[in-house]
Amino acid sequence: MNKLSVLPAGVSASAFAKAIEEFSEVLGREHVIVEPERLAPYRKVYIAVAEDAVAPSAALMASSVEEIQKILAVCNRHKVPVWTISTGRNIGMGSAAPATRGQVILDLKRMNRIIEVDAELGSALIEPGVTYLDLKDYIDEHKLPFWVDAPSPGPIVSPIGNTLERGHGYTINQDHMFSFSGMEVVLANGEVIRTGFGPLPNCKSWQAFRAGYGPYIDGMFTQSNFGIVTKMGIWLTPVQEGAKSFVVYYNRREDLAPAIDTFRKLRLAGTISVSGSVLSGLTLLGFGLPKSSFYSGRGAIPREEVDALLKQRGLPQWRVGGVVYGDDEETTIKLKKIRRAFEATNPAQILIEDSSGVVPSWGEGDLASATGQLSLDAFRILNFVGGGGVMWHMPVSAMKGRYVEQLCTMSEEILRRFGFDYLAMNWCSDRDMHQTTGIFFDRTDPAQMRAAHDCYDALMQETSRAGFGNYRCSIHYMDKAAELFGPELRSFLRSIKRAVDPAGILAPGKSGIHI
Amino acid sequence: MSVRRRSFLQGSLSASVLLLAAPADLLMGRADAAGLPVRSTASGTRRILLLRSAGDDAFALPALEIALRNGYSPVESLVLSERLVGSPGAFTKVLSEYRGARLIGVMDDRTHTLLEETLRDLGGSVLCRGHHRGLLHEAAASRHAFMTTGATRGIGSALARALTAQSAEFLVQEHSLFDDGVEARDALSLPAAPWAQVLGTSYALMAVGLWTAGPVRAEQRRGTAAEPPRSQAVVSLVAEV
Repeated sequence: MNKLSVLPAGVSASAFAKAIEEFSEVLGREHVIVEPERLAPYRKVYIAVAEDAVAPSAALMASSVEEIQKILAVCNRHKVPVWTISTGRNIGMGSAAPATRGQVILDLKRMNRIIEVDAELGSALIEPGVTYLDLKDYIDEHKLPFWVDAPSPGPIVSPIGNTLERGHGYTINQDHMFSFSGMEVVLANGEVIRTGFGPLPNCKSWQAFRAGYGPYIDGMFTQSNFGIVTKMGIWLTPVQEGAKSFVVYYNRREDLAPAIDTFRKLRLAGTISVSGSVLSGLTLLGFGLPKSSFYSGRGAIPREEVDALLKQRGLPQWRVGGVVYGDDEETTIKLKKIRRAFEATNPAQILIEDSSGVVPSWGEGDLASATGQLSLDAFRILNFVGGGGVMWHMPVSAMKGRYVEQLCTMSEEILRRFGFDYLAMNWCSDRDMHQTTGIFFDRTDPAQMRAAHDCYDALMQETSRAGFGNYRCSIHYMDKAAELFGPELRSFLRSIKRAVDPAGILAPGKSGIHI
Repeated sequence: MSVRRRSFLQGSLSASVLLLAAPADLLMGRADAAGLPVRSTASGTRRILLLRSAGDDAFALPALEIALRNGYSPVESLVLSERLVGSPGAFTKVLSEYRGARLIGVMDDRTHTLLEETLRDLGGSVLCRGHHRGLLHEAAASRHAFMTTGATRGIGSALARALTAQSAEFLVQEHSLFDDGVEARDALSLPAAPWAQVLGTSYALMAVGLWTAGPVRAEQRRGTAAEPPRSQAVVSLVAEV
């Protein structure tokens, strides 16, 4: 190691060198990364903090539960903190980097077995290194009648990682937090537990019945640092008889609230089959073109210029999109109801399609993603500003028009205050709406770095104060985000942490949880 | 698949043939006319892959020149086409064929993100990464933020020195992950040219192993380096698969 290698907090250079030696004995030297060049892809972040602030000290690539147990024994012995990633695609919220500098990354990409797929129930018991693309390839290869339910950056993402971060997709299993059954978890002391009915010998329903017996503890291992999830039963979506999509365009900003209320009613009634997306006009533009190609000013594009740009390019202020499943007869009836309901909300246009491609795809909540297809289109948005900076703000609103409008207006106002454009991607469910708002900034400009950092803080604080909680956040903000939910909950989580990980080796700072 | 291994002389980049004045002289192990080092052996020992993007000639042509001067003929290139970048799994398949190769190129942010994620999956290394804002083909104001390692440190100083010889404003930042305590020599003197050309030359020298590590300065600037109208954002990379 060169003399300026990053060290874990409170660990001496000699103790860390000893730990590295012991990790190498467990994994083999080639699976222990300490070289700066090889660590560089692990420390690459897009958030508005210096990479040094969240730099890992090493990366370990385990291939089995047994190796993880041995690694944790070394970590406990030398008090080395370990930050686990499945594939590390937390892009825009910290990527693979840890919440605090110096943690060793435990990269589980080598644990990439699809252990069992139940072709009757539609479940897959998998390891963390499996990606949605791996799973889809398996399904296609075995000609199974299922779709994967992937988030926007789908193909390269781990289903387990995304589920643990409470991500969402676009089919009937879209709320990933509630679309799995059974976990295997390695605890900080090396013990291995299985949740649900997993501990039962010859269990016939580990991947079928989620609740198990006694306290439901699976949730404790999501967005937390209480254990390392090494297996999970992911639910697959049965291929539907048919699928059709619709989009509704609105040319006035004030049409958002009635559109949201209409969507909610149709979704609650089951007319709209799955959650949909509500995208702002500038988002539609941003998916296709870099900002510099249509705007040469600095800072946020003034609202009147946004309006003019959208008008000039035939784009709406809002695009509401959704999908219906069923056979031809069923989808025709549903789409008639949907058209009738949205016609009462003063839309500029309603487009209804089958799979012919009439409705333009934006990589978000469209027919392709609702039918299990995988795409990398979502990454196009990274070219909107360029410069390597993006941070996602993810507040949640109840699915009520007036609340959603309030949140969108507030988010836009805060972004503009700091000189950033408002690109909204709203994932609309039956009762809640997840807003994904990007702060796109240029990391070559120190002033933009500072502004993006301050803007994120303002978004988190102000939307929370207004009652819109943030369900997920950037690694650099986890302590502050936890504070927003008050001291009692944080104290309770700390008590659990102290009980299950007394040395505090597992991902200190994850979701603001420390010993 | 969008892999093209093509001869420099047969490719669409034939304009850079003009840079090859006297190939025999270029392989004699001495500094060339521009004062840049050349390898003393007739062929490169490490496989090099030039990543090509639309409109990247300002970077790619000087990089090709350096590679050719150092015995890489033909120079292998990989076109970062939409089909490659946008197809799930395609990057992994293609880059797996280039294990051990050193990659250089400039690209947009989306491509860079997917490429570097793939590199991490494959256990690859990033020796130098730069984020740039400016006009690739003109000596206008520009900003640059580099992450460098032992083999590539000093690029910031070298670029700043080259840009100082021009009139445009600039901001160059460099953060190096590596300091072995050895005193670095002065920044390599590179011919004054638009920044993308300087990068092309420098990255090719890094790829062939002829880069001289220079002093690392956190920030160097002239003027405000405010972005000019229509400026582009690109990411540059020196990496190993």
